[in-house]
Amino acid sequence: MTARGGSGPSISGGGTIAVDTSAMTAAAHGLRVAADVLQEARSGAAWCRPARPEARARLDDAVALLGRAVADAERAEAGLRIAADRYGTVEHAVLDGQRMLAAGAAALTGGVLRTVFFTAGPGAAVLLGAGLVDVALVAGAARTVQHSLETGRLAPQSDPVLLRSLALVIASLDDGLRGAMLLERPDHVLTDDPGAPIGSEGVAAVLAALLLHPAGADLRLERTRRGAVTSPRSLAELADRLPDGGEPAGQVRIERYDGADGTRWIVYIAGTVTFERDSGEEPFDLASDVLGVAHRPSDSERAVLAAMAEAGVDPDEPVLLVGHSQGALDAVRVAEDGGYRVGGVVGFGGPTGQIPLPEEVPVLAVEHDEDLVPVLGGTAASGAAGLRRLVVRRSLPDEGYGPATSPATARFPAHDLGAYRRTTAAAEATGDARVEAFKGRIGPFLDGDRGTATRWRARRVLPVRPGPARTAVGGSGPRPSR
Amino acid sequence: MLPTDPVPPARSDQDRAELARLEGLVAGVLLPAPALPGWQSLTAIEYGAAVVELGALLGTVRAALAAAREAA
Repeated sequence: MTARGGSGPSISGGGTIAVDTSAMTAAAHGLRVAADVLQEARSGAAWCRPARPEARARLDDAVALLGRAVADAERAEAGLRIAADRYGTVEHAVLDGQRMLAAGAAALTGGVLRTVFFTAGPGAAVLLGAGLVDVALVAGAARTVQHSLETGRLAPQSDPVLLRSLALVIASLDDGLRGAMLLERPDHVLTDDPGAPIGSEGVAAVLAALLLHPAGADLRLERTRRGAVTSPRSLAELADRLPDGGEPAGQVRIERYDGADGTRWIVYIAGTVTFERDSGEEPFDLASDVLGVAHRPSDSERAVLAAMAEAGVDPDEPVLLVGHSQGALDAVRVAEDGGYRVGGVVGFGGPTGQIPLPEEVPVLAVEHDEDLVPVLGGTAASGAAGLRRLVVRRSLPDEGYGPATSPATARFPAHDLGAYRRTTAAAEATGDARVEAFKGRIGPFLDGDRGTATRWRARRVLPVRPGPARTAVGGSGPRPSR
Repeated sequence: MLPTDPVPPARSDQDRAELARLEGLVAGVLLPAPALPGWQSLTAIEYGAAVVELGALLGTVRAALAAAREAA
């Protein structure tokens, strides 16, 4: 069951939570605040001893009633929190079950197609495959019509049901391939390993190599701005400072703070600047998106690493990485492979759920149910690896089409950075213990210290004459860590 | 102290002021809405009943505090 009416965030310890428990957690928080105030009133009343016996008797009644009210409020709060946790646990199980079913169905389909190919011929296999695709398209079209009738707008890209289905399809492509090659094993179905041989990372790498701008070009880096800055004090402020990669000032912002305990850094990374296949000198493009999902060195990730090196970030100095969309993906990949001492990662609307980071790196992901981008990486990691990732989810009122959005995200308003900023602020306002704990872990970066901010623009150096295409795809295995 | 003993006025004023402050504190308690939007379950029904009951209880608390203040 999904609470569609609530617009507050739901917060989970991992993966995607389809049930929006925001109304429950917000109500529980309200009861906690009420119980605290009532306890304060009860303590004050207990200390007050009026001289008149009648007044004392009335006051004793009030103290007893206040004690009952505090107990009632605390009992109701505890009940709500337990219920929300149980719904979350059940939803995890349901989502894992969906993923396993999809993986099994994909592997079976691959095996059936292979059998038909060798028994009835290639034509029959193609016909069967096309028929299956048609069935999927018809189901998608029917769901789109239903969603349009419900919402009054034609926007399948914002339909949480279709987006969840898309995530399952993306996560199951590798199972289908392995099924066709008779390589699928039970553990492939039970656990999703994007980095496995013929895994989803390999599939994405092949797609990028075949369809998109080749990666690996030389980059030219330019520092465009430098100025004084005060460090942020909240998670929402981190979103405020994310650069717009389309601005001349560039795609990366780096802040340096020199404290008594050493230097620390905050790196802000912009999202995708262009979705053009021929993206020219812009490294924050669609190819970098796909290569990031594929766990291959993308040009945008190399640009971030180059900016960090140029800014003087020492590998032993703590770094907080913040990103939106592709920037969130780059942040996670830099934390995974960059060789830096990463003190935390904060990502807004990035396709990062499938990428587990070490336990010592606190990770916060903010995602909207109606946002297409987070599902492009497939289904989120489950189990212990998934639970390490703190996820703030929100179903946007009116699917994000209500308030005005930036032109860049007009067709995908749920991906808008402003919407993510509002969700983050709402999550902080709930006072949720997990959000507070995360803020505590990255506390040194949010202390309001004075420092220096620089802004960086990276460009590809394009060859004067067309040369041999370069690609980052060097095999089916994952890239070596730096 | 016997019930008929006179009460020093200064103490009564302090008590009344403190009781008025407590009344204000209780009156300022904001309870969450009893309905959880879009949520239909036993938990939601029990929660709604608890909030309504708590609201009524706070009304009784305020009345008791007001009576204590008037009697002080």
